[in-house]
Amino acid sequence: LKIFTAARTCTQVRAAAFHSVAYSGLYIERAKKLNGSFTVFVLCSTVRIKASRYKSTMEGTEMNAEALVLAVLDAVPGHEVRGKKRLQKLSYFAVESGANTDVDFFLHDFGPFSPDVARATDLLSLFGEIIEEDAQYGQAKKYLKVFRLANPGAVAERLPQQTLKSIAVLNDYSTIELEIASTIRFFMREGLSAAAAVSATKELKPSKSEPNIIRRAEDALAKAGLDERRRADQVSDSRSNRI
Amino acid sequence: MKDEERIRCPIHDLIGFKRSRDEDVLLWNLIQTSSFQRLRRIKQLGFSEFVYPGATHSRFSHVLGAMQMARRMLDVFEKNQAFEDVENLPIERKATLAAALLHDLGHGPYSHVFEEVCSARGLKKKHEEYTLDFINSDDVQKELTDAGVFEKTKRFFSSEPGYSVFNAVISSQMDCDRLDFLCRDRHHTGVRSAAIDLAWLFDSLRIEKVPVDDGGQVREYSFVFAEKGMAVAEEFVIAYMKMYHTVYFHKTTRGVQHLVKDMLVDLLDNYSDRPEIKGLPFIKFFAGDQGLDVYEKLDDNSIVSLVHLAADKEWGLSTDLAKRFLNRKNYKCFEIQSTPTGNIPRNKLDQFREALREQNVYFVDDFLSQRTYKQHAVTDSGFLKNILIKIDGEYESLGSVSSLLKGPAQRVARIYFRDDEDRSKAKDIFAGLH
Repeated sequence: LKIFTAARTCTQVRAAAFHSVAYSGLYIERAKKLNGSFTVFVLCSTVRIKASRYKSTMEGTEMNAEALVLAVLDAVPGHEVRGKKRLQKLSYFAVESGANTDVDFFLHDFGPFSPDVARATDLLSLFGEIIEEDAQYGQAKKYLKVFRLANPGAVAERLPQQTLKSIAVLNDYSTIELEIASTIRFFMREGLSAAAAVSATKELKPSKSEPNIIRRAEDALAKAGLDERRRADQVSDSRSNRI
Repeated sequence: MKDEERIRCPIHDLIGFKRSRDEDVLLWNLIQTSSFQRLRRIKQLGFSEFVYPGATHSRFSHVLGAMQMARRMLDVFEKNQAFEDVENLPIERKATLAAALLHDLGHGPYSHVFEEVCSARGLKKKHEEYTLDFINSDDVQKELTDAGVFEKTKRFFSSEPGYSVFNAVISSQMDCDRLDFLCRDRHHTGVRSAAIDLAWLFDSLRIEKVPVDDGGQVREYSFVFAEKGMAVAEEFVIAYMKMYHTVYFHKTTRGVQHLVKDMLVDLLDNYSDRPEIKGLPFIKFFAGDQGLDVYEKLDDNSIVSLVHLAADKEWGLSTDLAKRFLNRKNYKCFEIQSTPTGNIPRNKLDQFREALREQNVYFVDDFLSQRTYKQHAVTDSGFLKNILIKIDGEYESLGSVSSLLKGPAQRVARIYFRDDEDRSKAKDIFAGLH
């Protein structure tokens, strides 16, 4: 299996590989960078095989987790995010919509989660580069961590234009809607069809998967341009119907 | 199983099982499985015994205690008619108790160190995923299936907390796991403060559906204290903070963890030249044989046996660190306190690290970043502040009604060095920085 791509981060390589093997029955598990080359791990049934090695063809600097957190805070109005969960989800969507980084996410209690982002947030707060405060919000009167950029003018690395647009769209949704949207997106990236991804999300998060929340989550993915799997499913369905 | 079986427990006194009760037969049979017996060989507090010699209790004793804690909670809630709407209480109860018993099956040897070594070697599978693997293994699955609760028990580990009223017993701020480990770890370490009045706590505890989102649109089950439980909720918070500061993140314990991690990583880097260790489960696992049959053999002894082998050889760093582990010659800690604003200047820390590298001083950064472990949940102040108290029919967060949680948490950066000499050199370098 050979994949030619201009991608330059593990996430982008994984995404490129994902599209290359779509509908082939293969599942791209992860991509790993070593000495400038990428190795993509592919699952075929349950057997893991080392599939391919290929070189990145584009130059570029990958953001580390700290730069990603700063860039996400830089991208939202007021340079402020309410809640650790929300910061995680926005960081996830930043990566999904093209941020150049090798930060990995896995499915945790509240949707995609990255220990690297959590650790980076701790460090930035420890160094005073972001301000972290506890505040009570909403009907639940729950204490949330509020994260704010300490020096908004001093953010060195910024998100690409397309990512900024996606983040601006997604920031209008509630944290629970982002949690559900990111979980659906995560399942789609695992190779599930759009419908199966929604079902898996409902199964995992029964109490949060209210119909209106699922609807808003799907709407968020569509508006942010992150529903390519649903569009591909629709094309595939219409082809089947023609046959 | 005899008509009646008993296990003596220092926290709960007698934990009993009767053959006449279906749920007890299941629990007793689960305890007999090899997956469960493995927990006898994994210490609950890992290397804390280097500081608290009494803290050698096993995960086996903890999970039995967590199950008993769950029993006590379910009994109280049943008495308070909290389960009136539950369709099949005996089955739900059986699955809940089985989940309490099985929740730690997937822990690796010296859990925290093992997960750090996994992370250093690029392995991302978490102990929770191994717990599910063990539940799916033949012997455990058979017992659960025969008792009619296989799928229900698995559900506790595959859907998120808060879904059902029983879920709160297994996974919430005040779940059976936390309550047992706080009481048990206090007992075995000998820490005299941090006591929790369990009888009063249970008497004050309710389970209610509370809003979990900003708009109050989504409600999930959560524990809520009655107003009379305010004092015991504060007691719980004090216990958590106390155990965190004096036990779970003790600087000596963290030092041993770093030392052992360095030894294991060095052994894994060089195992191909050392035929003596190639066949050992720990090495086989990291060489790629990650099936449950190998994982099952990974217990604390699998690491200690490696330590003894390394100590008897001439394997450079591994041998040195193994000998130091056996003789408690620990890494040395240098703590950098935060400024009055609560920050640590990054520039100064970067300069410090750079100077250490220039002078070839080996060091390990330890930024309290173990948040995935429940014992460390206290690093997240929201966790404690969001314990709910019901006052005059309204839910209030403990953080807004108790003065205990007003101040910001003290933060510190810890850097570990191989020995006193390196630490002294580092202190001089740090003192010379602007």
